[in-house]
Amino acid sequence: MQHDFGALEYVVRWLVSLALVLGTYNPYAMSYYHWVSFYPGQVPMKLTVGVALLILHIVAVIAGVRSLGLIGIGLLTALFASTAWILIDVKVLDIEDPRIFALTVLVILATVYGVGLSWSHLRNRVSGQVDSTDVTQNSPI
Amino acid sequence: MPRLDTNPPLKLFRLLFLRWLLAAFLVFGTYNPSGTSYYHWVAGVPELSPTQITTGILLLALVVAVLRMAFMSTGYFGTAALALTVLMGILFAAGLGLFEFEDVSFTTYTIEAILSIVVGVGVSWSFIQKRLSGERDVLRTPP
Repeated sequence: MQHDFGALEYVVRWLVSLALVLGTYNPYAMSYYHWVSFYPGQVPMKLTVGVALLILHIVAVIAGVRSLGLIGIGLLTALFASTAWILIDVKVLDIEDPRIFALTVLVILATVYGVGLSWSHLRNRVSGQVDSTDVTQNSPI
Repeated sequence: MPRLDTNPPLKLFRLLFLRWLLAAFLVFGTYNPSGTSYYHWVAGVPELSPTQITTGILLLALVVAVLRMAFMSTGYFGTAALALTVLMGILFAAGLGLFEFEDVSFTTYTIEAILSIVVGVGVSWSFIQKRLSGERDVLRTPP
């Protein structure tokens, strides 16, 4: 096979999504949001980085909406949220701490991004079907 | 980079067997009469634990994904044809004298086995069609 989508490819997408989401905002004060909010100056660089982040977010969201659909995104969010619930139940996660709570939500978002970027590949590998987008008509997604 | 126009030979047995295993795992894992299944795990529990709910959502998501793949590639006609083929296979085996027709009884196991074969072949069918005729099954954005 020339082309296999394995665990490594998924992990790469997940790590990139994590870097994207947590780089945009994280509760530990080391993010684009905090850079813009609390450090004056460097306006052109902030603008450029902001536009780049926006583009990456749009790419990830559109890839997810195209390959998973709203039903898939809903199911995955429910799955990861209940996984977080297991971790809370066995006291691995302590969401009394608002920073941990925010981090949990962001990691769930990043994981959904990661699966959204991977699902078309996975579907193609499992069933041989190809996801496509009809770009003839100017569809909103 | 992968090319869309290559047509390598299929390992047909491996293809069908792996996808049938996936379908059988989902079908029998959700419910089977032996007493070890997701249904038996959650039935009769006064309050669902987080693990049970998570497993349920995971199972639901996998069933939705796999059934959609299978149904998208075979459709109503293909599903009916596959089920009929399996039933005719049973009839054919009875006609060959492998077993008496009176001995055939449709238990839950039989029906689940037929279902898993139909879903397993349905998931594999896009590969087979691509190899046979070069036509690919293409999906538009789901709802």
